Formats: sequence, structure tokens, C-alpha cells
Amino acid sequence: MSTVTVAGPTGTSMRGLLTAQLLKLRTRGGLILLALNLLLPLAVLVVTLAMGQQTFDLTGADLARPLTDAIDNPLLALILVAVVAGADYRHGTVVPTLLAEPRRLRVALSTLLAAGGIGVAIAAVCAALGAAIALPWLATQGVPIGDVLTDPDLWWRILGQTTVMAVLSLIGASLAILLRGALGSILTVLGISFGEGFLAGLLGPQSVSWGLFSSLDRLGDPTAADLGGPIWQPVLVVVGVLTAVVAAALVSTARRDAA
Amino acid sequence: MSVIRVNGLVKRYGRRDVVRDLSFEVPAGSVTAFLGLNGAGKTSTLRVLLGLASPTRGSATVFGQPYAALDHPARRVGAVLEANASHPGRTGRRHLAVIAATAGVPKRRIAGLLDQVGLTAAADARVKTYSLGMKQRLALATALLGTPELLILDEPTNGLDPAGVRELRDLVRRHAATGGTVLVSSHQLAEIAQVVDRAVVIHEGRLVGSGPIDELTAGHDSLEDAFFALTQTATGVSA
Repeated sequence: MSTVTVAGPTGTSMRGLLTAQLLKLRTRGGLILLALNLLLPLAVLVVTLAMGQQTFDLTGADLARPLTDAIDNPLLALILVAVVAGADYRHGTVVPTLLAEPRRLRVALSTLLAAGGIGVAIAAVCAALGAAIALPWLATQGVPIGDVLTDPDLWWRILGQTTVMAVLSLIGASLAILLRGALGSILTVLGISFGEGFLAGLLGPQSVSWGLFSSLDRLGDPTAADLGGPIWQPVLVVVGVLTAVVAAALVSTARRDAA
Repeated sequence: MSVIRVNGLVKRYGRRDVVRDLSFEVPAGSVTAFLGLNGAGKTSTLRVLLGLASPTRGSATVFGQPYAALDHPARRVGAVLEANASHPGRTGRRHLAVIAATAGVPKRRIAGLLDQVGLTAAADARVKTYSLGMKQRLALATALLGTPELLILDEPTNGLDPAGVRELRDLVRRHAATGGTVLVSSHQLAEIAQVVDRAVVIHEGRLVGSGPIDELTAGHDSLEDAFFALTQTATGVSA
């Protein structure tokens, strides 16, 4: 162990913490999950288009469906951020992290910001790739591309799906912090999703109109005519759940022993 | 002047007090051994000292402040608590990059540190391929990222081969020679006796001895003899 002459630290910053969070993605598992996030929905889109199962009435919002379908993979994004956030506890890297930056709330906040950012970034990249695939295909079907791109429903749906991606990513990371692991986070969200689906099947869709996933479905497709009901209801549910989960993650980070 | 001050510290897990009214100080510029049997409360004390756990009662400060209140803590304190605190899927270099970004330490430090701990050849291999000794070296490099004044090392020789133990001993001596302070916990009493000038001995969470090494070992053949005399006396007292 030879002696080295080195420069001193430059100080901690939220930018540094966010950089650290993004560097954590660069493991084999993280990169595989990221690739799945980007490629799987596109693969489904391509197969759907190739098999001719996607039909359009050539008017209104359905024209935009192939573009926005490419963003509709929030559970994959949730798994990615939960695995990255949960790895700190699973592998004990939370210890050197908190020794480097002992202000736990800043570390937790950077994890949540990075998770939300990852959700938005995946949605943006998927939308761009979906457009690159779907627009030429729509053109070959004789659909006027200008009409598609100027349809406000398209942009509302992209905004809605991107919001859903960010929200579920934040919920996944918050639960991973709260439960100190990815598995608990993923299982909790899947449990809620299946539970709502089960109730809806048993009692009808109205029984879960205040449910998280029903609300996310509404937010992801805010202009859908068949869903009905005021938009404030799903907004209220999603904001309420998100606030509760994020607050629980931050409070537990501040109050519990880190290791 | 004391760099570390532990005052009336109590740490309880469930119904069990693992640290009981513990008080000691570590003077600046000293190399202090922190000794105790397994379960004596050493690691719990260090976790409270480093802000990873809250004290049930009492206080533990570094440079006169709780660890979490330090500005640029990585520049003031470098700590090795466990060798396995690295993601197995990351390379050693990437692990250091993540912690350097967190601590606000320039990335250019990393290559020199890897060289310093003898990990340059394995820097781009995944941590899951590392031996325990290599993980220990990586943990040491992590602790040294900010060129800290104070080193806190919990069982740093675990898994190290004889060359690694010697290099660690040299590093501790060099750190002390440049005015740095070291608090080191270890079960290798003969090894640690070669580098420390003071010792703090705890048993079942309580302080049983503290002071300069020559005072603690007076009347004994070695630090090991003194350690067992102190802990057995304490056991007899508490029994």
C-alpha cells in the first residue's frame, strides 16, 4: 500500500448524490432491467403491428395508440427502481453511502428523485422509439401523420403515461426504502394490483374506482371516453397514495437505525 | 484534545442493553485499540459514533459534534465497518465511483487509492469475484477516499493475508506519523499491540479499562494477558 498524493474532496451536493444514484444502475442486473424496460414494450408493439391486431377507426385518439402503448410498462420501471434502491440494503452499501453523506433524508430524497427521473426518462425514450416504429407504419396504412401529431389526445396520453411511470417508480423506490429491499416493494405493488383486479372481477369495476391501479389507468389515459367520472378523483387517489408512501419512506429513514 | 468523545452511552436493542453507560475519549494523534470479546458492544458503539444508529441514552461525538453534523464527513473521518458492504455486481472501481460521487470526492482519487490498497489489477473485476481480503482492501480504499484525519477501523485485518496485515500496519503507522488519529477494533491482540499507543477495553457493554498501553499492560506479559485479566475481572465482578 504505497502512499499517494491526492486532492481533497469538493464537498457533497444533491448533484453528486444523483450522480451516485445513476451510477448504481450500471450493474449487469440493472442494465438488463433497463434494456427490458426499453425493448420489451417495443417488441410487443412490433409484434402487435406485424400481426395486424391493432385496429383503428382512423379518427380520434386511437390513431395515437401505437405510440403511447410503447410507454405503457410502468411495472417494469417499478421493478428496476426497486431493485436499484433495495440493493443498498440487500448488499449493505447503505453503510458506506451514509458514512459519505450522513444526512439520511438527503440520501433518501436523491434516491426518490433519481427513481422519478428514471421513470420519466424511460417513458420519454420509449415514446421516441415507439414513434420511430409506429409513425412509418401508420403512414403505410394511409393515416395522415400530421393529423396524428396534432391530435391533443396523443399528447394528453403521453403526459398521462409518463406521469404513471414517474408515480409508480416513486412508489417502488419509496417502498424499497421503507421495506429495505426490492422484493417486498415489488410484491406489495403486485399484491395491490392483483387485489384490485380480483375485486373488480368479483364485484365489478365500480368497486375499485377508488383503487390505486384504477386511478393510474385513468391518469394514463385521461381522454378515454368510456371511463367517465371526474378526473379529480384519480388525481386525489394517486396524490394521496404517493404522499403517504413517500412520507413513510422519509420518516422511516430519519427515525430508524440505518444499519 | 479529544477527537472522539463517548459519554454515558447506552444502546438498547429490544430489551437488551448492548452498550451500558460507556464513556471514553480518544486523544488526537493517537492510535487507540478498541478491544472486547464478541458481543461486547464494540460495533454497536462504532455504529452510534458514526451516526448509523441512534443512542438510547448518552452521546458519542467526533471532532466535538455528532457525526451527522460534520461538514464534509468523508474528509474528517474514514471508517471500515464491514468488508461486505459493496454490491457484488459492481466492479471495485465502480463501487469507489459511487461513494466518491456521494461524498463529493473527485473521481481522480480512485486510481491512486486502488494502487494504494493493491487492487489495481482487480479494479475492473466484479466484487463478487473478490476474496474476503480483497473486499477488506476495497473497504479500506472507501474509507480513505476523502483523505480523512480520523480512521475508524472495525476488524480491518479480517481476511487479510500476512502481506495485507503488514501493509495495514504500515498504513496505520504512516497515518499516525502525519498527525492522524486511529481507532481500531481487532481480535488480533498480538498484531494490534505493535501499532497502538492506547487501548479502550469493554466487556458486556461496559468500560473495563482505558489508557496508555504501557499503563494497561503494566504487571502483565502482553496486551493479551492484560486484556484477559481485565475482562475476567469484570466477569467476576458482574457474576
